[in-house]
Amino acid sequence: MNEKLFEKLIGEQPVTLEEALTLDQALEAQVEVRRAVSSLRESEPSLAWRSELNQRLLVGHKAARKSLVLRWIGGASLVTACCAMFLVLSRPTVKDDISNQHYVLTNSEGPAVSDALFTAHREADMESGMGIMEPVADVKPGL
Amino acid sequence: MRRQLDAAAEQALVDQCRRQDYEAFGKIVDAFQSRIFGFVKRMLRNDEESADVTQEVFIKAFQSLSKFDGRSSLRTWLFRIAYNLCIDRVRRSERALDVASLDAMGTELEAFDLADSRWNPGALLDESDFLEVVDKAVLELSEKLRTVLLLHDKEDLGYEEIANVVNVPVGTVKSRLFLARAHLQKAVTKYVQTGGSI
Repeated sequence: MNEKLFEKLIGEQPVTLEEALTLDQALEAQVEVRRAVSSLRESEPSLAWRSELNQRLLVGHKAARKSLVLRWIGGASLVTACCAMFLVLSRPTVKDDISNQHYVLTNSEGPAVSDALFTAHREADMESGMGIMEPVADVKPGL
Repeated sequence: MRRQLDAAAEQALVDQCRRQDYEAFGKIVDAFQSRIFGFVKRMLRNDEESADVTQEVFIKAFQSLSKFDGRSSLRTWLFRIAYNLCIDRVRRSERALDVASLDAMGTELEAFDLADSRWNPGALLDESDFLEVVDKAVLELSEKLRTVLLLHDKEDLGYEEIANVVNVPVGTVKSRLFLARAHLQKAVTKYVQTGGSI
C-alpha cells in the first residue's frame, strides 16, 4: 500500500476506485488477524447479573403498564370532560329562551293568548248580562 | 455460549415482545447477552460498568421494541444501542482513551505494508498467551477502530451493518478496519519478535 492511500485512510478521505480495490485486497490479506480476533474469549454474564436484569425489566414493565393505565384514565377523563363541556355549551341559554318565546309570540298567527282569553271572558260576561246564560253559582260544599 | 436465532424465530419473538411478552424477551436476552456483554466489556474496559451498561442495553431495547421497524436485523439494532450507550458512557466520564490514535499510527508507516499472508504468530505462542496479546492490543485501539474491528471480526457483522451501527459510510468502515487490523498485527508481531511479557 502506498503512502498516499495510507494517509487518505488515516484522514478518512474519499478514495478512488483503484484505491478502493487496493484497500479490499489489503483487507483480504489480513485474514489471519481476523481469525485471531474471532477466536478471542467470549464473556458470559453471571447468573446474578441475569437475575438483576430480570428484576430491572420487571420493574420497568410494571411502570410501563402503570403509565399505560394512567394514560387511559387520563384520556377517558379528557373525553368525558370534553363531552360535558360540549353539552353545557350546546344547551340554550336563558336569554335564548326569552328571545325564542318572544319570537313565537310575535310571529304567531291570530290573536295572542292574552287577547283570546280577554275576548272569551268579555263574551261570557255579556251573555250572562243579557240573560242568555245563567251565571254560574258558586257551589259551596255542605250547604 | 452463543445461541443463534434464525430470521423467522427472531421475527416471531419481536412480535411477541411488541405485545409486552416478558417471556419472549427473555429468549432474546438469552440469545444475545454474551455477545453484547463481550462487546461492551471490550469497549468500556471495566467489568462492573460493562455489566451495568449491558443491562441498560436490554432494558432500553425492551422499552423501545415498538419502535424497532425491522429495516435492520435485531442483532444490528441491539449493537447500535450498545454502541451508543458505550459512547455516552465514555463521553460522560471523559475517558477519551484514544491510546493508539489515528495520527500516532501514521508515524510508523512501514509497519502497515501488510499484504503478508505469512503472518502467523499463533504458531509461535501457545494459544492462551496469543489470545491475551491480541486482546491487549484490541484494548489499546481507539474507540473508532476498536468498534469496527470488534463488530466485523468478532461479531461477524457486515460492512453495511457496521456502517448502520456507527453511522459512517461503508468506505470509512473499511479503512478503519484495515487500520485496526494493521495495529493489531504490528502489536502482536512486536511481541513475538521481542519475546516480551504481556
